[in-house]
Amino acid sequence: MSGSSAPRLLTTPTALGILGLGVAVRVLLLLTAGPIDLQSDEANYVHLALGLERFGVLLDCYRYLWPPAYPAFLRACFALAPDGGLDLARGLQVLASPAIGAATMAIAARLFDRRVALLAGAGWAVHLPLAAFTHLLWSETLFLALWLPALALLLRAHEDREDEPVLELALFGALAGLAVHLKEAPLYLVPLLLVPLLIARWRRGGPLPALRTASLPLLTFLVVLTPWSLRNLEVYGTPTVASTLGENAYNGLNATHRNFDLIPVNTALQRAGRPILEVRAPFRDPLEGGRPVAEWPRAEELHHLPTRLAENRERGLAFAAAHPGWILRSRVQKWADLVAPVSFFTRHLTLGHYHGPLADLRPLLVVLAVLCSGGTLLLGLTGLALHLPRTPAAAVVVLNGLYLLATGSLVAMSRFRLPMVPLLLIGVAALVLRRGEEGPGRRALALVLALALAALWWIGAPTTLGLLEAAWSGLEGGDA
Amino acid sequence: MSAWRPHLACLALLGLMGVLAALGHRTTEELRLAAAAGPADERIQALHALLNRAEAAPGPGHDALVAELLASPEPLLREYALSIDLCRLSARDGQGVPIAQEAAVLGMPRPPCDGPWWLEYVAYRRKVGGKQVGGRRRLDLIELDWYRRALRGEALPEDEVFRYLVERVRDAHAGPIPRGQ
Repeated sequence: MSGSSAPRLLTTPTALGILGLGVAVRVLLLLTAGPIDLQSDEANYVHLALGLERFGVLLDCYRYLWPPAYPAFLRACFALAPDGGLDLARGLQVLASPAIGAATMAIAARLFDRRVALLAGAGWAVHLPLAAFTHLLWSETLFLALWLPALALLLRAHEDREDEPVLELALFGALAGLAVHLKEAPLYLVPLLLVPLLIARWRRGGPLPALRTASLPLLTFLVVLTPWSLRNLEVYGTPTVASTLGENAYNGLNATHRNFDLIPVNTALQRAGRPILEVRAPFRDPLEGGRPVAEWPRAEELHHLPTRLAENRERGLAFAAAHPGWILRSRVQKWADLVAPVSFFTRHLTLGHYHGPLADLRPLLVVLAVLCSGGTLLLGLTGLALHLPRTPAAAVVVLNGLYLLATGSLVAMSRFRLPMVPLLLIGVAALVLRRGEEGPGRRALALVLALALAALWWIGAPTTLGLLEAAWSGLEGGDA
Repeated sequence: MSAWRPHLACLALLGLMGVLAALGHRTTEELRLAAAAGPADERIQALHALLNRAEAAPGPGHDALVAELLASPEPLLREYALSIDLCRLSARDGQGVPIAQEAAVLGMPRPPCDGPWWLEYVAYRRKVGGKQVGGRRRLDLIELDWYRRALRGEALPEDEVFRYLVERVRDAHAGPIPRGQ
């Protein structure tokens, strides 16, 4: 599909109808959810927003230095609606979500064609776990509403054209920068995503035009990130954007396995006097001389936050280096956690956090959500393996996946795979609509990926099945 | 050269930001002066930077600052004294709990449970960061509702607030949080 026809697609009645359907699904979820309890980081974000409102400063989280945009968004919602700030935030997230659907269709149109784009858009519209994030107070919806349009612009910049795609590249960098202010995760992915563009332009026009093209989005990215980095330089003495790596090293490179799909459910199970869910021991325990190794403690003695987080990171890396066999085994469990067909939507249902009519439909919604999660992973991976074009633009999708796999090998849970879900939905649509183009190499790749996914599901089965059983029957009293 | 104009514009912006940051930079001594007196919000801005820099450290000087802020007639400063910025460096008891802040919020047989106290309680007890900075559990919806009401200066249902807190303390004794091992 040509560069100008993808935007045209988005204004067709079918595409607009799909976006409308997606919004309607999200509005329906919001209206039927009733009051929604705050869970884990949701409460933390709200507390940071209250601090920002009351004191005018963004306080840190002691174990993390979170990016500023989501607390600032909530704080703005409280300013606009002092008593209904959270409702306003949820409503705005619903309103922002069509950007995700539109960008999914735009990316699919550029990689494949109009039909794949529309089907991928339809997938976005009804994907329950993705839709549910619009009423959860995590930054994911706003992040994706910036990140996916940024990717769509980058793909557009890959198209053959006479003029230089200055606007697309400048906007890609700026939107990616704003997205990083919501979620730090893709900080290092942004320069990586520009490598295929750099190579393609280098081949076509030589090094100088290639460097000019690839450096512009990096500069706009820096322009957006720099003000907050300078603020952090003034406050902490470190020009960081955000810092979550130290605590993630504590959680991910340590003797204790942590998966946040599991922890609140285990808390509720424990309070109910029921046995907690445990991952398979071979993928969990670091051993020395046949004995379990103790967890390394956080560097609580260091009061300066960036220094403490850096020390935690070093301790994590040292622990990993000291247990190379365990690090490989336990990463398999991390990837199993990353692709488990559970979601924060099913977790909320499990823990009884919905109090409206939505809660009455729990068993049905759990089944639908699991089908959405599992189906998207299996069919999406297969579809991308079989049909993703062999172009520099398509490399953007592959790099996204590999980066997610790399970051997911540190700390993993269903929420962390969310940036890949719209791209997997494109794979699902391609699998359904494209026929007879795949060679034996692609079929072999698809088979390997499907088998790897099945193996990871088997490895994660003890906890996944336990989580689904708990979701089916329902629990109360997860750690708020 | 015109093809590089956007790059030059970005570099100029980055340079401008650097210059503005350098001009706006406050030394530790300047922050100390700003933190010592003036309107509450300006003091907090200065204290926030002062307390998060590498040279900030626990000790008698910090504990005196905490005591001064907790005794302040200005509610905003009292609440800020309970935030992570101050609790991080406060003297702690054997369980790692910030002593002065714990006593200020919960050191009475029955806390007043009125609006001003509730703002302090939420600032202290519901903070992000865990036990070592005085935090326990996380904010929930009813607590947020009371917080908003307290911010507006409305009276809170004090008996209900007290009963609720007692129940939450009982809940908290259900056992350690399992980590999914």
